[in-house]
Amino acid sequence: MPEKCLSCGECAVIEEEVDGGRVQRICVECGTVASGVRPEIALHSNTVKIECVPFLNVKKEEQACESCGDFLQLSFHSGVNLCAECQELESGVADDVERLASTQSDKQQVSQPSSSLKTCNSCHSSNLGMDVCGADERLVCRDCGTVAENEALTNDDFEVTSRTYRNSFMTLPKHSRPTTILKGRAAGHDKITFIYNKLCFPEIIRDEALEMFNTVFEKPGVYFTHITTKEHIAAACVFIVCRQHDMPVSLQHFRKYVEKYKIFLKGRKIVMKTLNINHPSITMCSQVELVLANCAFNRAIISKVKDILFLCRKAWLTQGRSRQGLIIIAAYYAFISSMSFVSMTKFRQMFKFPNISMLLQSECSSLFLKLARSIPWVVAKHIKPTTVYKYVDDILQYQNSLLQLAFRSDGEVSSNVDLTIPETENELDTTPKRKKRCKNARHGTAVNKDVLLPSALKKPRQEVFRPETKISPMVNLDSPVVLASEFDEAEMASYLLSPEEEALLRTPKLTFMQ
Amino acid sequence: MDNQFSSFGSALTPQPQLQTPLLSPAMAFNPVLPPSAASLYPATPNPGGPMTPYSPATPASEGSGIRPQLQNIVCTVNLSCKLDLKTIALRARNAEYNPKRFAAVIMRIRDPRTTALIFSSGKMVCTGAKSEDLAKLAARKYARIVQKLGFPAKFLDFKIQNMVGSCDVKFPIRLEGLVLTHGQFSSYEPELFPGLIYRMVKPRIVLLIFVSGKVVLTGAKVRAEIYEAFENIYPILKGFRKQ
Repeated sequence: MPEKCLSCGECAVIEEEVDGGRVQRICVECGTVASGVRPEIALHSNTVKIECVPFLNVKKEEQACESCGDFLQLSFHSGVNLCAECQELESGVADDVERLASTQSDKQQVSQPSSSLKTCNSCHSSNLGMDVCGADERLVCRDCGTVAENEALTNDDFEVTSRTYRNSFMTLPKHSRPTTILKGRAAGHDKITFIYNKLCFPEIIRDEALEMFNTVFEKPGVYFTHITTKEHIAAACVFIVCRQHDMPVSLQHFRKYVEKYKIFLKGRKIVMKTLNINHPSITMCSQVELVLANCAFNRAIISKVKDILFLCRKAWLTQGRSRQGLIIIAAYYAFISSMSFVSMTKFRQMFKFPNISMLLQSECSSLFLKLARSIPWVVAKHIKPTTVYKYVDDILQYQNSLLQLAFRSDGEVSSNVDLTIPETENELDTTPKRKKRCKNARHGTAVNKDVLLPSALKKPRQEVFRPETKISPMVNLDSPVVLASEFDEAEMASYLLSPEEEALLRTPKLTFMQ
Repeated sequence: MDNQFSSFGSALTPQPQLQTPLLSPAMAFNPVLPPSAASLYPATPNPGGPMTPYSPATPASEGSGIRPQLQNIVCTVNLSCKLDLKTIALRARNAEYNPKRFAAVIMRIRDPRTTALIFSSGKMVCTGAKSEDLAKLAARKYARIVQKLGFPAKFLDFKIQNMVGSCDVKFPIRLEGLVLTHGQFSSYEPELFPGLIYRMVKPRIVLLIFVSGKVVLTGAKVRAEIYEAFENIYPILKGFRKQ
């Protein structure tokens, strides 16, 4: 006897076999597929009852997880679009695993595709969870760590196109990351370890640098940079940590261990800006031992180097200058005064020092010459650059008096320096410095006496005079409309090409743009 | 200030003065004051007493007497119309356009002597003016030039983004001493840059201080911030003057 169709009211519902061997109840008259609710239940009530899960009293709607694509049941007002597993991964709360697993098992019975494997094969525990590794998801026993069978394929009954996977939406997990980004982190760690080994830092430096790098790695400014930049950022982390521990490392020390120095400097800025930190500066004195580490100088020479630096500081030769260069020059004078005379070139070759600024070298040399010639018991004309080394000890011993004798007028001139108006014509010429110094030494001009000033103060800068621009009263600066009457048309036309010029320059300009 | 630091020969590193990070830079260091001004300045920093957080109480009567000069103003304006940069570059005499290198036309005018970056969205950046009015005037001239090229350019949302000023305190400054006592705000790496970079908290200005006594102030949105920043830093610099 055919059953009554709920749609058209005709007794035309029969059971028919459909694709796959299933049996479906279909109305012959209207074609409606009868619902899963048994008709005897439907006869007793006009509406089809929705079977509710007893512990949920709110209307549910099925939705897919944004991360893994699994079906999940959300409350009507829920704003969460992630399944519980992905939420757990998001929050990283490992302690809620059991709670989530228990609630998930109930939900899975209602909506999610059922897993054929509910207990671990090894320890028969039901504490199973998804472990995400790259783009691969595996069911893992949380008690013993056994990787369960691949549950990706949940239903293999149908054709290839209708297979269903655990991830029925076939989307990538949210936490899958390309391996290149993970390589960047590893490269940064390797760089930190490399520098730590090379420079023999304490272990705490390495640990803090790693921690700093891990912190800054997740920031957008670092996360998406090239792997080379990440390596240099890691090196910058080591540098900053060293400075925070008051280690007198300089940027030059790291130059040897980074491929691109400019990117290393850029990385240092990125780290400081991202983490909003500032590393302390170091004094020149603290760098002396570091610069002269490979020279095996004794304590007396090191002490003399520091005395020479102090003298140069008094003479304003140290501010804003390369510290390494100054230390090398001071070491040179300390060496030749203690040992024997050698030229600067040979001295640098002996101890494998890098090149230094010729300007700085000449300024230091002229200072020592000036002071040596001020020694009362020395004949000034006998003092030359090749013999000044004999008087270095005397210069250091009587430096205050010699500075007074040599630069007696310095106290008057330096406090009243007017940089805008040159005192003599000699200050404006462009002759080379050595010739100028000799010339001034003969003539004894004011410039020669100002040796104890910073070099930037010795040459007054000439101001460039620019005529003042007048604003026409026709111009209303605040008006949103720019009128033609505001500006001289001739002036405006001078900024545009004439048609002939435009035709002439069109081709080369187009070529340039391409 | 030489007596503040130990001799290099004794291998002692100069000890920086203790400073509270939130304090104004001037409050962290007590400059040498003339007796007549002693009552006008706050007393030696008292850890238990109330402090102005970010700027010293510098009376106007004790100002430096030096006014920083504005050197550069960066401003933006919206021309409020889409622009064909190719057309502008082909028809303007003073325009550069290399799309492979930069997606904007670089245009220059002689008076005021400025440079503009004109983007296809109609937005424009103008730099090089020496005052706020000149910056506005220059931006209007660029807008007029764009109008003459056939685009319905307007002049909307003019805003000054940055102002740069400079001045000279007329005495040399010991940068190493300054960085030791004001390390929280200062950065001095002579291997990178010969000047000291001082990041003032209030006003939020960055100062480049050089040994020659020249000071560059940048990061201001209004002129008053530059003046205020210089008045804050001047007493500190006086403390590190060569004596």
